[in-house]
Order: sequence, then C-alpha cells, then structure tokens
Amino acid sequence: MTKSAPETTVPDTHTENSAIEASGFPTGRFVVFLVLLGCLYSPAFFLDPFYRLPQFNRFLALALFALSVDLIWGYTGLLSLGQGLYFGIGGYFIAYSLKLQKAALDAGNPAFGRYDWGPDMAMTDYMFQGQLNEVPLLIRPLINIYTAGFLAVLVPTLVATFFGWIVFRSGIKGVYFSLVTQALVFAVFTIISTQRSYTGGVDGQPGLANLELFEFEFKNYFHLNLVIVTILCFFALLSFFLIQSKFGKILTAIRDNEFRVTALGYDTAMYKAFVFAFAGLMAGVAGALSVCATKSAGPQFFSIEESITVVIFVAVGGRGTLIGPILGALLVSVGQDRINSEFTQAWPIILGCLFIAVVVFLPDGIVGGLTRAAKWFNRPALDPEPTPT
Amino acid sequence: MDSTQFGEALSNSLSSSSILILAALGLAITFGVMRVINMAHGDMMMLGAYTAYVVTDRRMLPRALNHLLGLIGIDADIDLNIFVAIPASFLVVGFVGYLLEVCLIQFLYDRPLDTLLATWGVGLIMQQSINLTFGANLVPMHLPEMLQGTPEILQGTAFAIPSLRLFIVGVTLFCLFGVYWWFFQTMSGLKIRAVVQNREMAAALGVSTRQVDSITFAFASGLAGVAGCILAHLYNTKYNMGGDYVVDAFTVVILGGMGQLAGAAGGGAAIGTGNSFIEKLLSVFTKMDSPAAMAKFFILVLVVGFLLVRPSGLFATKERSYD
Amino acid sequence: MIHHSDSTRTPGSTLIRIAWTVFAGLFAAMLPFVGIGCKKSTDSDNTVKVGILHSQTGTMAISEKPLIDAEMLAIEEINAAGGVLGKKIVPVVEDPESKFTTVFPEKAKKLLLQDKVAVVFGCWTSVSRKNVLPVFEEHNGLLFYPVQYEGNESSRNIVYTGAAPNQQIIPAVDWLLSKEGGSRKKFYLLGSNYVFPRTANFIIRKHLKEKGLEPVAEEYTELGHKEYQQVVQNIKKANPDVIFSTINGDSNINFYNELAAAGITADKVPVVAVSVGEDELRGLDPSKVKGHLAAWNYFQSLDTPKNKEFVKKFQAKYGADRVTDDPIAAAYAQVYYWKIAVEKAGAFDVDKVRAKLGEVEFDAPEGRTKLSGKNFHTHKSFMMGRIRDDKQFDIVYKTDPIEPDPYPQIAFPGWSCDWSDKNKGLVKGTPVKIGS
Repeated sequence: MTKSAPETTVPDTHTENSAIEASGFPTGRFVVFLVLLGCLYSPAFFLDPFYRLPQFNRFLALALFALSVDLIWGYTGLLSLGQGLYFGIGGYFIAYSLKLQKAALDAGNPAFGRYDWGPDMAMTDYMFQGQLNEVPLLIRPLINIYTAGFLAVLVPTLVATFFGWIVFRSGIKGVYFSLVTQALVFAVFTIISTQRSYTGGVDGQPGLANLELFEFEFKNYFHLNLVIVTILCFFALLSFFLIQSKFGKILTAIRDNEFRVTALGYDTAMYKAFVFAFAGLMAGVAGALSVCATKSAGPQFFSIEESITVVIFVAVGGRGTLIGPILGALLVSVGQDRINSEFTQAWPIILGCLFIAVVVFLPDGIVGGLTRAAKWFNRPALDPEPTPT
Repeated sequence: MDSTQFGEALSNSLSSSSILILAALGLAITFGVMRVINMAHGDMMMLGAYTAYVVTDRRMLPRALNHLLGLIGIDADIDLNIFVAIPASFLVVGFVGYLLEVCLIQFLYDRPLDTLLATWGVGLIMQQSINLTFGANLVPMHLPEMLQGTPEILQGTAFAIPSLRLFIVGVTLFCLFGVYWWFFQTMSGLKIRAVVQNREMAAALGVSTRQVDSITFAFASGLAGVAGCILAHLYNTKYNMGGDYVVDAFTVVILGGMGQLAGAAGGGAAIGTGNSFIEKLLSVFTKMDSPAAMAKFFILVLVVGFLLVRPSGLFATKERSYD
Repeated sequence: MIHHSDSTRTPGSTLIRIAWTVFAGLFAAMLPFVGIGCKKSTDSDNTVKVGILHSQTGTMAISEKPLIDAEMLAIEEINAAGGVLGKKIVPVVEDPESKFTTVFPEKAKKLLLQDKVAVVFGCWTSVSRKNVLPVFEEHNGLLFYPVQYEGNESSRNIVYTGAAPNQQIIPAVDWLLSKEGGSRKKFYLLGSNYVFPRTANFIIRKHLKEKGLEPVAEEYTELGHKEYQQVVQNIKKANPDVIFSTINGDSNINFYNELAAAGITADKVPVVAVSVGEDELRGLDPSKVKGHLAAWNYFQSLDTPKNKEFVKKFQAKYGADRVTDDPIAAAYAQVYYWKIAVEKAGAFDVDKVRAKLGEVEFDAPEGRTKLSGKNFHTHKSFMMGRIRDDKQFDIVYKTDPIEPDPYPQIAFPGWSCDWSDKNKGLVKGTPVKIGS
C-alpha cells in the first residue's frame, strides 16, 4: 500500500488510555493474551479422553469460528448472519476426504490405497444410493487429505472475497449486509440438503474415517486437540497483530465512522473485503477442524441457527476483544451442555434470558464488562464521577 | 407449458404471494419502518396460531365459556371459529408486542443489530414456554365449513384455488389496505411517518415518540398474530413454527425495500410468483424429483443477486445509504 | 459504532453497577452446575443406570418426546415390580437437541463412558442412528431403536424394535395389489428427501417391477416442506390409484390439508402412509384425513387386553388426551425386551445380554413379539389401518408375525446378516444403487 495517508490518530474506543499505548506495542496485554491462550492447552491433560476431550475439540473449533465473526463484527462492524457458509464449505471439503477414505478402507480394494483416486474408486454410501455410477470427477481428488485441506482453506476464502467484493462495492451495509448474508447461506442450505447424491442431503456425511496426516493417524483425541489448540492460537495471534497494525486501526475506524475514513481517502470497500475474506478463511479452517473432531458433517452447518449461535458466542464473550469470542464460545457451549443435562426443558429459556441480559446490561460482553469493571475499581480516588451525558 | 399449467402456476402464484405478504406485513413495519430486527417475528406468528387454537378448540376457551355461562344458569353451546380467532390473535399478540416494546425494545433503538440478538432470545423464551405449556405436539385447527374445499365454480378449472386460500388473499388485501389507510390517511399514521423520518423534530413538534413507537410496534405484532392465526389453518401449528416463516419474511422485506409498504407487497408478489413459476417449469420440463427445493434455491439466489445489483430493493426510498 | 455510541451514552457508574450485579448473579446461578460432571452414584449396588437419548428440543422434539414418556412408563412399572435382577432402574435422560451430527454422538458417548449406562434407548431419525452407531460399536454399547426404518443396515450393537422394510413397506404394497386392497396398479410414490423414503421407494420400485408394474411418479419434498399446491396438481395430472406416502413429520399435515382442499378424498385416491400414526394425527382435522390408510405394526385401537391395559396406563399417567402409536408402543416394549434379556443372561454385561437377545419373547401391546437372534430385529405382525372420525384407526388387515429381514432380497441381493453364527455375521453382497 503506497498510499501516503497521514498518521491520523484514529480514536480507539476500547483503550481509553490509548494516548499512552498508541505509541508502542501493548506488551502487557499481549502477555496476558498469551497466557490465556496457553491455558487452552491444559484441559487436554485432565479431560476424559473419549467423551469430554472430543467435545472440547469441537468447542475449540467453534471458538475459532467465533473469532472469525468477531473480526468482522467486533472490529469492523459487519454483522454476518451467514458465516456458517464458510464454516460449512471448509467442513464439507474435509468431510468428502474422510468419507471417501472411509469408503476406500471399507471396500478394502488392495489396488487402491487410502489416497488413490480414479474412475473406479470406492463410492460413498450416499453416492451409491443416489443416481451416480461413479464418484463425480470433481470430488475424486478430494480423497487426498492435503488437496482437501488446501481447498478447505482456499475455497471459503475465495467465496468470501468474491461475495465481499461485490457486496462492499455496491455499498451494502449494516442490517442489509446481515440479511443478504443470511439469504445466501439459506440458499446454500437448501441446495446442500436437496442434492443427496452429491452431498449426502439432509443426512449429511456421518461415520467418517480418522484424520491421517503424514502417515500419522489421529486415533486418539489428544493429538488432535494439540493440533486444534495450536491452530486456534496461531489465528488468535495473527488476529492480534492484525488488529494492532495500522490496518487494524483502520478497520476499527471503519466501524466507528466509515464516512470519515472514506473522506480521509481510504478505499473502505477494499479493507472490508479483505477482512471478510480473512474471516472466511478462519471460518473455513474452523469448519475443517470441527469435522475432524466430530467425524461427522451435516447440512446444519449451513443453517441460520448455527450462524446466529456463533454471533451469540461473540456477543456474550465480548465483541471487539480477541479473548472474548473464545471465552464466549467455550462458556456458552459448556454451559449449554451442563445445564441441558440437568434442566433439559428449561435450557432454551435460560439461554434466551442470557442473551437479553447480555444485550441490555453487558453490551460489550463478559470481557468488555470485566475491563470496564477493572477500570472502575482502579479509578483514581479523587477523580470526580464523570457527569452523565 | 400448456394453458392449464400456466393457469395453475398463476393461481399458485396468487396464493403463495398473498401468504408471503401476510407473513411479512408485520415485519415490514417493525423492521422496514422502525428498524427493529425482530427475529421473534415468526414466534409472534406462532403465538397468534396458539391463540387461535385456544379460542377455537372446543376443549379450550369455548368449553370454559360454556361452563361460565352454565354457572349463571344459561345453557349455552358457544363454538368459536377462525372469524373470532383473527381479532383475538390480533389483540393478544399485539399486547405481547406492546409489552416487549416497553420492556425491552425501547432501550435498543439506537443499536439495531442488538435488537437482533435480544429478540432472538425473546423468541427462544416464547417457543419454550409454549412447548412447556401445550406440549411439543402438533396442534389441530378446525376450519368452518365455508372455508373447506374448493369453490364449485372453480372446480376442474386451472384456477382451482381452495376457499381458504381465496380467503387468505382477501385478508391480505384487507390488511394491506388497512395499513395503507392508517399510515397515509390518518393523523396517527402521519405521526408515525414523522417519527420515522425525523425523531427529534417530531418530538420537538409535540409528538409523543414513545407512545408512537409502542403503538406501532404493538400494531405490527398484532398483524404478525393475524398472519399466524390464518396460516395455522393452512399449514401445521407447532411451537417452533416461527422458524419456517421468519427468513421468508425478512427476504420479502429486504427485496421489496425498507421503509416501503409497497415494498412488502412487491417483494412478496415477486418471490411468490417467481417461486411458483420456477417450480412449475421444473416439474413440467425436467425429471427433477424435488422441484420445490430447487425452485426455492433459485429464487433465493436471484434475490441475493438482485440485491447485490440494487441494494435498495424493488421500491427504493429516497435515502442515500442503507444501514 | 455500537461501542462508540454506547460508551458515550453510559450514564456514569449506575449502569455499570447494574451490569455487575447481573453479571455476578449470572455466575452465581451457574455455580451449581460446575460440579455436575462428577456426580457419584451413591448406591450403585441397588441401581442400574439406563440411558434415554431422545430430542426434547429442536425439530424432532415433536416426535421424540412421547417416546421418552413411554420408556419412562415402562421403567416405572419395572421398578414398581422390583426392578431388574433386584436392582432399580435409574434413567439418565439426555437431550441431544435434534442436532444429529454433533450433540447426538456426544451425548451417546457421555451415556456410555461417563454414566456407564447398561443400555441406551434412543433416536428417531435414521440420521441420528447412523451418527451414534460408530460410538456404540467403538465402545460396545447397546442401543434399542424403536422406530420403523429403511433396512440396509445391521449392527451387533443396535436392537431394532421398529419394523424392518419387509414388515411394513412390502406387505403394504402386497395388500394394495391384492383384491382386498382394491387391486391398485398405479402407484404414486411421494416422500421426504432423505434416506428412509429414498430406500423405501427403491424397495417398492423393485417389488412392483417383480409384478410387472411401474410407479406413475416418484417425487420428493424437503423435510418440513409447507407448500403442497404443486405436488397436488402433479397428483391430479398423474391420476394414480394410490399415493404411497413416505413423507415424514409435520409436512404430512400440510400435505393432507392441501389434498383435502383440492377435493382428492380417500374414496377416490387413498393415501397410504408409513409415517403417520395416531400422534401425528393429533395435529389434523379428522374430516380431512378420514378414510386414508396407514401401514404399521400397532394401532391404539388394537383390541387386545394387553393393549387396552397399556393405553389405559399411558393415558392415566400423561393425560386422557394423549394417544399411543407404533413407535410409542415399541419404545415401551423395548424396555421390557432389555429386561427379559438381562434376566436371561443374569448380568448387565452387554456381551452376555446380546447373547440372550434371541430368546426374548414378550406380550407387547402389539401382540406376542420375539426378537431375532440373527439380526436383532423384532418379529412383528403387519397391520393396515383406516383413519376414522376420531383420529383412530380401523384395522382392516392384519398378518401373522413376520420374520424381520433388514436386507429384502429383491432389493439387496446377496446381503444377509446372522450375528448368532460367528462364521457368518454380516454378509455383504454387491453394493446397491438406490437412485431411480
């Protein structure tokens, strides 16, 4: 970017002492962030390895998914209600791979290894049941987990880039953006659940093979957990540096006053499209990890409920913070699992009350509330109460 | 496609369009005009449907009324039907909407995206409350004789629209004209429009904006209740039926254009007609075994595509930005 | 924008104080749940845990909730009569929230590994069963599945107490072809778009082909589909003798409503449904469905003392407006199947119980049933019912108990399954393409 934009001090609404921090790297916050991320490694050592750990893996994938929503919503002000699209695409690519591998293993054809493809490769059960005579040409190479993994990252990014570019060019914002993304993901949900022979339809793709990378089969969930936590930490740190950079400041500025940013000569659509594509990538990775963790994929990835649930994770944890969505995803998921076991019937009511309480009383979520509280308790003793505006 | 099939597609269009418009009309006011992203719209329709159930089912309200009258010595046999249920649903759901506005929505007017989360929560609570009260089962609805079957003059023709569907077309038109008349021909409608266009100025001129907000939201909720009451007689009634309608309703409103009542009508007609014709074409000319889902897919893609080209929807307002 | 406006609007510390109170309150409210995972079963000597895995929230709650009721009723009765092997049954009820690919397998794992239940009664949809199947096979659990299904599946870890295709679909078609059933030739196959209707229609097509017939149409709608105008117009045009409906769930209401409105009545073109029972009929106006048919292995109107007693007990416990139907009766009976197998084995161990499954015989509400030791399905009588005014069924046709076969040879040649013989197990034939 060769644009010689002046070093504007974009108001950062989250750090009231931004005057101090604007000049340097927020080392204190970074260390806290690192420690908190490091804590994510610990549950693997004490959780029940068959039941709790795979569940925790799924929650971690959801945390990454929530992080992607936070990046576009919390930092850039774009509320996507269709982020499940990218999650689902990423997940389905991996699901195809593991499903085809499973079919190959089940068929036990010695001429065909786990990663070989050709016209006579083993078909998955839903393809058999559909009208297909052989595995469709485009799906065949997906049996190779590396190809599938690459596409699970690339395709959501490309779709998000393409969609974001058109949407932001045509000036769709705010509520309109939310609803257009929602309509799009609903359209994809319809087609995925109809095309049984190609996608497994509403039955999805259950019973997948174990993930195998570099001839290492992830038979137990401990190793998978290490991979998932590492990827989550990687993306969290990447987001941290992205947000700290000038680019991140511009995103926040777009959220707070897009008009002013445009007036300063920035092409806001480009910025928004980029961050949307990046979030798409993260959602795709999250979907891929989720499928590895649950060994199952289904069209409900593309359901509107799924996308809204993630938005709620972010809202509860704290939008515009990086630890917030991770915390929100873990807390709400664990809470849902626990409460649901005890008071099955009341769970939706508790959840509903939680959203309302968060929206009304804690608009910046648990993390935002904690930050505000910390500031309130640490305020200088003689500092007069700010006069209500 | 022969003339019969064309006629059938046309009559399906009429019916589908009217259903979509009816389902979206309340939302066109709460979302289109008041900018509240009311995710509980579908659940308000559900409340309307359950109100209709309580009012019309012989084991519920009529029995209670008969019992009460019996106590004062009148041997009554009250049997209430859909015609009583419609105003009842309007009042009950309107009241619920009023409470919702006063207790929750009024604090969120300057945070439209937060209304989405809060109303989603409200919807969850409504659904589960109904689930726990009435059970998870489907609830039966009873249609009066005159709305059953197909009118005799239409039977055997391509325009064999069932009576209930004709009735829905009528109710939709009535509601549309009613809302139009209220908004554009009455003093309170003028106040609503004034508040929507410039809240501060309207308040400065002595309009009680709080009152206008509450009444408008209540009225729009009431319309959702009416829609729910009527559609419950056509489709099934269950505690989670709201989810079936809410996406369609939002799609209709954004396709039509925010803030425009004509938009809801236009959007509903466009989607309903498009859907019916695509489905007909697919089932006549292709061997596809699930044409309905494909038609729905095509329509959604077309709507998204259209909105990308023309974000303001079919009926543009004079605003410059849409957010 | 949100934060900005909010931080400027915040009226001093009042809001923060409120927020804190609520926040602290929320956490306080959550505290009791922290230790839930570490529940101790205090008197495990006198109790045995069983899992119940049916959705109580989400789309499937409508269908699955009554099954929990039936299973709880059976457990209550068994406990009242002294329990199993002298131990009281403690049900662990989990709600998988209708989330088939994620929560269903997780809850299955929880039941098997954490609660260490002796057996699980659960699932409704084939999707959920296929998702929990690997869990039960991996951890050697035992799942009793109470709903009729499409066949083409067999597992040592699942006991199918609903009908296999040869106990419901094939006899229904045979009866319709017979003189008694109206010698109907033109079949219109209509179903929901998922694995059960697809497979069922495949079997029907194969079966009809054997008789030299072909269905006039085969059409699918999505689960939960609402608008049946077009489908009904297609039906009118095809002019079939009978509509064979594998539509599942609440779409049925929309379909029957539309059919009635279009004037297609049962005396002209009857609908034969395989997924419409008394419980589904509760949501329908009887005038619209009168005379249509349903194929099951149990009806509430079945006139046997055992059934009358069951219906009476069910309604006494859950209300006089409640009805029983085939899956409910199967859910009730399957708890007893398990009890009998455990008592024959003299232990709760899954392998020992499995070995005795073939010896289970029980006076179920639907009649004398027994389990097949070969494929762990249930011997059942086929019944055809005609819908009456009071949303009950007149049983117009009833067979003797039919031996279950998950792999009807006309559709799945070469496939068979015999778990009682160690050398046989599941014999795989050539894979079968189910598409039209």
